[in-house]
Amino acid sequence: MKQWLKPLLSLLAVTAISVALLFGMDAVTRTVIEKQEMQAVHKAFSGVISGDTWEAVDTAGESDIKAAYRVLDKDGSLLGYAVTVSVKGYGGEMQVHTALSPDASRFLGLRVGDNQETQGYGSRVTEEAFYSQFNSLAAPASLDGYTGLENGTGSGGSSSAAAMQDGSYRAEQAEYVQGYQYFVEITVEGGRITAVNWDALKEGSDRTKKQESEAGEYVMTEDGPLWHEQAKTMEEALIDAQDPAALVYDADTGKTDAYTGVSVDVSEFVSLASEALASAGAQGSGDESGGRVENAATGSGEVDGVTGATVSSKAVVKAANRAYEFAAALAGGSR
Amino acid sequence: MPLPFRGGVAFGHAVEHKDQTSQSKIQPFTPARLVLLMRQGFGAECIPTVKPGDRVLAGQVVGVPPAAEGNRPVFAAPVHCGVSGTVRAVEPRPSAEGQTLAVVVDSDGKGEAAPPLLGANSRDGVRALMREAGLTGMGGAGFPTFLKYDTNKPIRYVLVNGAECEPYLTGDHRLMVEQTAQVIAGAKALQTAAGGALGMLCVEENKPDAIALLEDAVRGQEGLSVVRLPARYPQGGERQLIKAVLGREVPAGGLPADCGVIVSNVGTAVALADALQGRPLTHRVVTVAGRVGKPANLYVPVGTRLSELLEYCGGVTGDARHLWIAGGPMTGAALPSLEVPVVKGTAGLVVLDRPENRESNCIRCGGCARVCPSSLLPFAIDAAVIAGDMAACVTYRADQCISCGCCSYICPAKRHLAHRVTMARSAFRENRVKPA
Amino acid sequence: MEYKQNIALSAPHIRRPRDTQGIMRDVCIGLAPAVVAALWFFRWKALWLLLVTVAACALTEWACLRLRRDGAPFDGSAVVTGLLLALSLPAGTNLFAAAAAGVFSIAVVKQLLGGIGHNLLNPAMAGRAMLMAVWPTALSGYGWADAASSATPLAMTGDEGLWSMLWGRENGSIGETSALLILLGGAYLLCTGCIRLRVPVTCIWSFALFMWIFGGDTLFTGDAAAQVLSGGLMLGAFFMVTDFTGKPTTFAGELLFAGGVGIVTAALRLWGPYPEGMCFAILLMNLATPLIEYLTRPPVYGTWPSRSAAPDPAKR
Repeated sequence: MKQWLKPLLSLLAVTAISVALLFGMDAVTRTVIEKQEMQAVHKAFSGVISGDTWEAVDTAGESDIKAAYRVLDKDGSLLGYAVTVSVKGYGGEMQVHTALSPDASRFLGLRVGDNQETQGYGSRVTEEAFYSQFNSLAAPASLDGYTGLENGTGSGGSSSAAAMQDGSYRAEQAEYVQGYQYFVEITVEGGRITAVNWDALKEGSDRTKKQESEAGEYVMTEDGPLWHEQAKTMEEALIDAQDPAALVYDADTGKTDAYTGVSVDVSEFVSLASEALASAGAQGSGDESGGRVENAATGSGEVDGVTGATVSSKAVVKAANRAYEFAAALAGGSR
Repeated sequence: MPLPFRGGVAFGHAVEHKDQTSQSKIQPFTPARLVLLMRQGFGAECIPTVKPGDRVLAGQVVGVPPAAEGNRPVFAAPVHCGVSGTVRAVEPRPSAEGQTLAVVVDSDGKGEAAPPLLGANSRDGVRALMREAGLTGMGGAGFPTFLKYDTNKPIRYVLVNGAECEPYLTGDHRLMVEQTAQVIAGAKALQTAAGGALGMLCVEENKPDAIALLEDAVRGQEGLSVVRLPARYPQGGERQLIKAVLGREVPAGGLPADCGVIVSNVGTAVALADALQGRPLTHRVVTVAGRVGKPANLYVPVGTRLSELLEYCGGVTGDARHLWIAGGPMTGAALPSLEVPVVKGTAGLVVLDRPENRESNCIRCGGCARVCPSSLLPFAIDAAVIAGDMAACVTYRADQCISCGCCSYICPAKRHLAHRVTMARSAFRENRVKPA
Repeated sequence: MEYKQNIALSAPHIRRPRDTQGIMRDVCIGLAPAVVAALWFFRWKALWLLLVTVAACALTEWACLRLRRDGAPFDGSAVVTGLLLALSLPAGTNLFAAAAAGVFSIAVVKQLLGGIGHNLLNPAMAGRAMLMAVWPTALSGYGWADAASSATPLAMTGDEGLWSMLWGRENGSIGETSALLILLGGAYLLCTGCIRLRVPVTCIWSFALFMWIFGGDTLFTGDAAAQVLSGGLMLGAFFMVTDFTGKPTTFAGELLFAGGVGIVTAALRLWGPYPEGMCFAILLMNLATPLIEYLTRPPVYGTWPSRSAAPDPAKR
């Protein structure tokens, strides 16, 4: 008993001193380290956003958002948001530093920090040519139809510049084609597309194509996904993308391989959706060839990916849009 | 002035246990029966000069060394009886080595003395007196004193060894405190025997009272000084003492005389002073300490059985299994029985709990190499002995071991290093293997 | 005679109370500050790594001792090996790999050669080297990828960097973050006599000197201080170079060994394929230990004629 007491006490003493030292040095160096860290943050965002006061925002619960700041000027007015997002790139985690405008409607700029992307390919997302695309780009960004936005996130607050007006919109084909007259119905709430219905009236029937498919009367291929299932996939894709122009398909054949199980011609869906949203007064241009579009009125800006580095580019866009979502939530006062 | 010797251990107060007896005055104790061993430790067995039934007087010779064969000196000194009485038997008796021929004397309690020895004042006279009085080293080894001084090498220094570095033992300390004058007289006689060498009384700092008394006593004395040494075991080893005091090393295979030094124990000096006053070496101081009821320093006749000493000192305390040690705990021999008598070199009887040391693997901490006063690598010799590799023992100079026990003391793996290194050394000595 | 030959009853009859278990216990206490720092900086990752390696080492030791049947005691050295192994691994190390390294350290490097004291190599370092050789990807996740701390320790210079290194905000294996706490543990070992100051001091100085000479763009311009405080040098100098089994026991041998580790570490850092050279430097010098020890046997008392003829102090 007693012979164990002394080593035990020594252990306790040594451990206590260690913990005390760690606490002590933490207290002493915290301000220094925070200053150093802030300098590092300023450096990471240099050329993107700068300000006198950087107010850290609590990012607890958002595991991919490493840090977020409200950037204020001398007088305390908001200059924008600085958000650092960790995202999985091609070579591993990478840090994307994104700055957004005070209303979170547009990107002020973007930088890619720590990354392990392939030299010469993925690493080109760190080049100025790629960065500059984000300068004053409308948020959220999309990359050849890819936005990386998560379903249902982002509330689109009142101050959001989303230009789509709330309401229900409908567009339909002028006549029956091969026995069907297709139509698309879109519901916009809070400036965002919240519901889509793609269906067709059957010539000489009171049932729609969906009802027919659900009843098993319209079968395209054995064992393949039924038409109503494919329609549902596309409807969800549009809710995700918020922009028919962002949907990916082959302009010549109208086919797509971007959406699981969809084998039908989707070009009609895209054009009808665009048409419907046109009546909402705020849809994307419908430019199917992709490429960079900067439309101040739209809710989305498109970005050219880096050739040969789709994964890296997508990761950056995803990170930028996560930053946007977070900033939008901040701007909307929900945080 | 003292230069440190290499290695060694500073035990510290708690391990030394010297305060058990360091303040207890030397008390005389005379038993009713003496067992005078004919082999008093080191060297040859003496020939008894008495037979059963003979009456002997206090100070009478009862055993003489055998005759010399050729030129080789006989390593033995005559044995005297400390009491007057009757020889009861001449027979083998238990000794630290097993069984040894002994003269057993029953005391009549009268203390009737034999004719005193004649004093001497010349170098040869003192050397002859040393032989006649049966002087041997009182520090433990029991080397006959007259042989030490029988040298034709020039002797520059006589070191009177009062280091007493062994734990528990305080006999020399008490002698220096209580018989300061005898110590000084003996030291001067030793200087004479060494042909007028300088005398140095070497005492460790843990005996400040002895140092103070000796310094007072040597004040104004020509050629005699007191050297204060830091307490460190094995300072009392003559080779280490020479190194510490003079900075010299005794050459391997040589004697201290080879570097102009002779070392004698304080007890030997006092015995020589007694001899100059006519009394041969029949008594000595024995420290009884450790787990005993009343630890004490006793002035007892040589031949007193240890059982009687222990009984006189209140017996053993504690209920653990005991270990009886003749001498100090670092170099003393564990005794098979307490029937073993006091011999001229018995500085103490120490009773300890029997140790429960289990050897484990050497962890190569290097402690043994660090404390070895001979700069050996005991762990390497240990491994060589276990492997039976005598060539390696030669390489590692096992012959230079002084058996101080520091290596075993320090070993965290509790290896019996001193035992095996001593074994290797004995192999050299007995087989006369010539070290490289 | 029989009694005299009983080895357990041979002199000396008193032993210092300190034993192997006690030494290992003290080494564990000495490692406590480094462990606390590891837990402080790496939290759960460090805890799991420590638990896994210590458990793997201790269980392997226990099993090997059972198999040996010679009654060798469990002396705690396996716990020390486990701690050192964990502290020398980065926080993101695959736990299965860490456990495998622990088993390898004890079973192959130590017990197969005869157990404690008989192993030629430092078990913890051999385990780590094994991982680096056969499972290098398991050691990935070096450091912590934070938005704010992006400099790698070996590239860091400047005052703030040095302070940061001393306090412990640097990347690397979990045990080498806080030089200050490693020093605290080292001080405990020094006070309890488990290590001799000359060993870490020689190691660090030879390393610093070599770095200063060759570490810069030109000779004599290397940043020795930053190099000393970074990486595993401090941990290695106080806890691995001082490991009894792998180092020579002689005074001169200790200096040679420690100096050798310092220089080889510096050379490997400057010109080697890995950023960290301590592990291989220790293993390399471990192999040289028997030779160093033989060549640095101390001068035996009485065998140097000049010492026997020292001048007469009375004539001085």
